[in-house]
Formats: sequence, C-alpha cells, structure tokens
Amino acid sequence: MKKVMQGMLVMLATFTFVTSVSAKGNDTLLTYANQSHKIAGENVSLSNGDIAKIERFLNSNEVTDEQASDIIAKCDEIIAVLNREGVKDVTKLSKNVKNEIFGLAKEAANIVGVTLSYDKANKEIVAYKGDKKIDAISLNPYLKQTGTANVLAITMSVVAILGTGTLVLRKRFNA
Amino acid sequence: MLNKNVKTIIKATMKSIIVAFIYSFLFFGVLFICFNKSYKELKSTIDLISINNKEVSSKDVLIDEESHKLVVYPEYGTKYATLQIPSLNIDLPVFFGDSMSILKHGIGHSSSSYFPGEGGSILYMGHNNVGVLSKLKNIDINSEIIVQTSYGKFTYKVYDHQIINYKETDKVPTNKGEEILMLYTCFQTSTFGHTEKRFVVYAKLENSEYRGEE
Repeated sequence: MKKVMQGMLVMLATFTFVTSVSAKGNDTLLTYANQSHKIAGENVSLSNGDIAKIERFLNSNEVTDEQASDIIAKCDEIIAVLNREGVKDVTKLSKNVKNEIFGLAKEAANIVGVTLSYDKANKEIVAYKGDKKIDAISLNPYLKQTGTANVLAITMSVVAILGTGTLVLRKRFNA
Repeated sequence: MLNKNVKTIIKATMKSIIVAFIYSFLFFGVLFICFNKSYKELKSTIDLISINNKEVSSKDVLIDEESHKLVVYPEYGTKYATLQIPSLNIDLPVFFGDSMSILKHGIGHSSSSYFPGEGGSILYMGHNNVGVLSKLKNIDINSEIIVQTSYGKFTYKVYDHQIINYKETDKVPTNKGEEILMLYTCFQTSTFGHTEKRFVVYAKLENSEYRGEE
C-alpha cells in the first residue's frame, strides 16, 4: 500500500516549503493527505509515517490556497496514471511510467520552490529547497541495514587465500 | 599414470591449502589474544574519527514555548541531539535522517517519525559495531534513555525489547498520541555481512525539560 502511494508521497512531502499567507492551504493539503484514494480498484491511503512528514513540513511553512489546489491537481494526475496502468505496486511499473510519475512529482515540488532528485548511492528521492536538504524518501520500505561486516574475518580470509596461493605456487615451481 | 600424477598434485595442493589456513588462523589468533583490547579501542577510535559533528545551533531548531511544538526543524543530515544510555555508557550524536551515509556518523532519526517532545513515535537506529550500539542487546527493562536536544532534555524508560525481522515494519509503528522512543540495530553482532534480524528497544517518555524553563 505504501509503495503504491510513493508517487504521491514525493509530492506531498514537498508541500510546505513556500512561505505564504494562508493557513487554509495547509488544512486543505492535510485533509487531502489523510484521505484514502481509489487506485486500481482498492482504497489506498498514506501511512502514518508519510503523514508525519507532511505534518512536519506544514508545521513550519504555509501554503497558499492556489498552491494547494495546484499540488492536489498534480496528485490527482499521478493517481490517474496509476489507475491507467491498473497497478497497485509502483515497483511493477515500466521505466517510462515511473519517469512520468516522477516528472509530475517534480512539477508539484516546483510549485513550492522545491527540487527533487534521485540519489543513486542511498537509493532515495531527495528534496532540496535552495541548497538546503529538506528530506529524503527511501525507496526501500524496510528497516535499515545496521550491521557491519567483520573486518577481521575478511582480512583473515584474504590473507589465508593469498598465503595458500603462494604455497601452492611455490610447490609447483619446486616440484 | 597421468591419473596418479593428477591425484598426487591435488593431494599436495589440498595439504598446502589446509596448512596455509591453519597458519593464518594461528597467526591472527595470537594477535587477537595479545592485542584484542587494543584492537577494539583502535577500531572504535577509527570508527569515531569520521563522525561529522556538524551541529545545528539552537537558533536553527525553534520550538513554540507555549505549545512546545517545533516550528523550525533541523536540516536533514545534521546533528541535532545526543543519545545517552547511562547503564551502557553510551553517548552518541543523533542526526536527522536515516540514509546509509548518515548512519556512518552516529544515530539516525527516521524522517517518517516525530521529534522528541512532539508527542508521537520516534524511530532511531544505529550500527551494531563497537563505539555505536554493539552493547544495546544488554539493555535492561527500566533502563533510562536520555535525548538531549538544543530545545530540551527528554528522558525515556525502557519497557520492552524484541528481536524482529527487517521486514516487520509494523513492529516500529509511527503513531500520534503517545511519545514512544524506538531504537534498533542489527542483531547477531558477530554476523559477517548482512543480517535480517533487528534488536529493537521500546521506551516511554518519563520526563521533559524544555530549555529556558526553571
């Protein structure tokens, strides 16, 4: 369910980066974010984690009514694309469709002065306002890999293999 | 005749391989026994050297003094707090964000969770190596976890810990209404490479002290 909404999440996560004069736009966006939407025949909604991101942004920035309407329109376009494809899992979309959705997300972000880019190294979508990094959305929905390789084991294995190779070669030459 | 020669070569090669491995393990075994403590200290120091202590000054993180609601949040990827577990002698920097590059420097804070003092779930994570959270698995129920931020000091008390699978994200839910601190690291600290298990500690907010309050 969360994967399906990733396209929306990217846009929704950029809502609040523009200062404006009306808190009503914020309320409109928050209401929209808390709604469920029909995608490929199923009612889908954002996760609590996604809502937390949006609330954080709306707590520190305001969005005009006009900007809220434009952003919601882009979200609706993304939902329309997903419904057109009839796919609930974003990962199952073709590369072209993924690019189409990401393009719409970037347009929505631009409305509020935010740029989105894909960080290959960390496999996440990164949002910037000017040169300030605001947030990042991981494309990996699971808990992070927080283990570390045993450096000593690696070193021992490499040395053992090198030592073995040396011994074998020496035997061959001396034979 | 040829088969006999091949068998002889294979036998000799296997013998050489076994001898090489035995010598290597003996050599490093001796080194480990003699210098284990020094190695751990050195490794811990090396691990910590790269920590980026880029701090967010208190003016960059603003809190509404009446509602205690954050209005200006730290920049993603910057340090905004320290995490202390006195019973385990843990004192680590906390960074906003949980990218793998951030986790190299200390504790990461999932941006899909709330901040200390906001009244919702907080999700922190860190590597299980020496100098970070290798001792976390030894934490006791009722232990204190303290998060010191530029805007306040928050004390949590551990009420549970579990070993979960990395796909069980429902075991670390983001909720509003009750401030729960969840802290996880990879389980089985002697694992070579990746592991699917996570050791998660759950702690409830016991006390908040906001800066400037008497």
